[in-house]
Amino acid sequence: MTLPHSITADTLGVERFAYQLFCRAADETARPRPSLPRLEAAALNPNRLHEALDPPEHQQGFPPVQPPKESPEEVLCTRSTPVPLAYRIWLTHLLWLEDVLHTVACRPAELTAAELAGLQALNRARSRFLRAHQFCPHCDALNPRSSRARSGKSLRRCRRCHQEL
Amino acid sequence: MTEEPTKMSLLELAAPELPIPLKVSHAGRTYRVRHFLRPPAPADWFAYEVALAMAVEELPPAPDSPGHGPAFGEEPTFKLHLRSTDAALELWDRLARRVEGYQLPPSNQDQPDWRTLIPLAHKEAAVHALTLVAPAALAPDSTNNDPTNYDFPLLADEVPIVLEAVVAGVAYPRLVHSFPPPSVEAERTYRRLLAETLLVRGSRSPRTLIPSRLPALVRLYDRLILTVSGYSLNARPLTDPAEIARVMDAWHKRVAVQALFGEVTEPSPADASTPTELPTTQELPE
Repeated sequence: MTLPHSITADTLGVERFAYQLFCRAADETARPRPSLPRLEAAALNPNRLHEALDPPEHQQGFPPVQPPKESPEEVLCTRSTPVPLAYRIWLTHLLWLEDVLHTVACRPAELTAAELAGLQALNRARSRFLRAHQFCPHCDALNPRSSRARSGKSLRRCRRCHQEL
Repeated sequence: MTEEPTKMSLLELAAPELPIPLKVSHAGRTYRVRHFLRPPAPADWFAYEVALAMAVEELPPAPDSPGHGPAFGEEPTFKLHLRSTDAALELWDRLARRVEGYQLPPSNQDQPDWRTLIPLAHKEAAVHALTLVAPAALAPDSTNNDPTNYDFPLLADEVPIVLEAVVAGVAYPRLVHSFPPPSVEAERTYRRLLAETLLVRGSRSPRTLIPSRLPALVRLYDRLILTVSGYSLNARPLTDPAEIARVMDAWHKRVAVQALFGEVTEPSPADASTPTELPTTQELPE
């Protein structure tokens, strides 16, 4: 057990977890569908659930859904440790503050030093996120920039619409 | 049971003491006892909130998650830790003046330290009775029969926050605190207050400590409050904002400010949705 520490002063942690949140918020498609037993347990009408699922999947007896194949960048995004609640709360405040500052004039003295450092960390995380990902020009889905694509050895295709990026 | 207030009865803020009626079931019998408490000062509530030591623990992922834990689509699970019993006992010790309805054996009548003899559950119930204040549920009025569908007031000069409370066994269903519409600056102050937490990285799961917020919420209330109704001070209504800030109960201030900004992001120990919905323990405020 460590001593309590204020997360507002931990700008490195704020940047790291902001990056994780950006990845996870933008990459909803990477999340696996819950397993069939869990869906059935939660369903009010299991028959209607079966009808709603894809017919081929239904006919195949609902194989366990595997997460999609991931690039190393995605693995870094999604498989690292979950964002602690304290950082989520602080990042929520920073994102709200950033949104407000876009519309309302604010004197520098009205921001605390921790908020200023937090907003800078948020910007760094966003820049890193945008450098590491690209959006499909056809369907706007998020796709990681892989090193192979950058070197031109293979054509990258969108994970959602499968068109060339 | 709570008494219904008489027509337009006001909550007196300068009461010398608060009689808290408790109904206690013990060994097949029902007893009615009363605790007489000093009205809590802001410092008492501040100490109470600090003693609550509110913390949220993030539980490790469930074993049936598909190997990825909460980072891969599983919602994390949180567990709230409150030292509510310790905090209540500490506050009771600060406030208790006398009790009624208890009997000592004849051979032990001159017991000087009667406070230590009161059962802990009775003390906790008495303190819980002090925290019974919550935003009032909207009631249908003459122009609208659906309390869930009101028109949002535009260009309003004041925002009325209606609370309901049970104090000394009496229900007060309409305690109104009026504020100006919150400015961006006030909202930023409030959000900043909620955002500041401490983190403890434990051996198994991290724990978020929620620092004491009551003093800052009270300051925010004092800065914003315009008028109140439903309260009295020495049998006269309160009109001056400075006087309201000076005499208003800090716990009422807290609930009013949280209702004003619309997001109660932490569970309140006063979880009574209405004053008459009391917890079903053996010791209940009457």
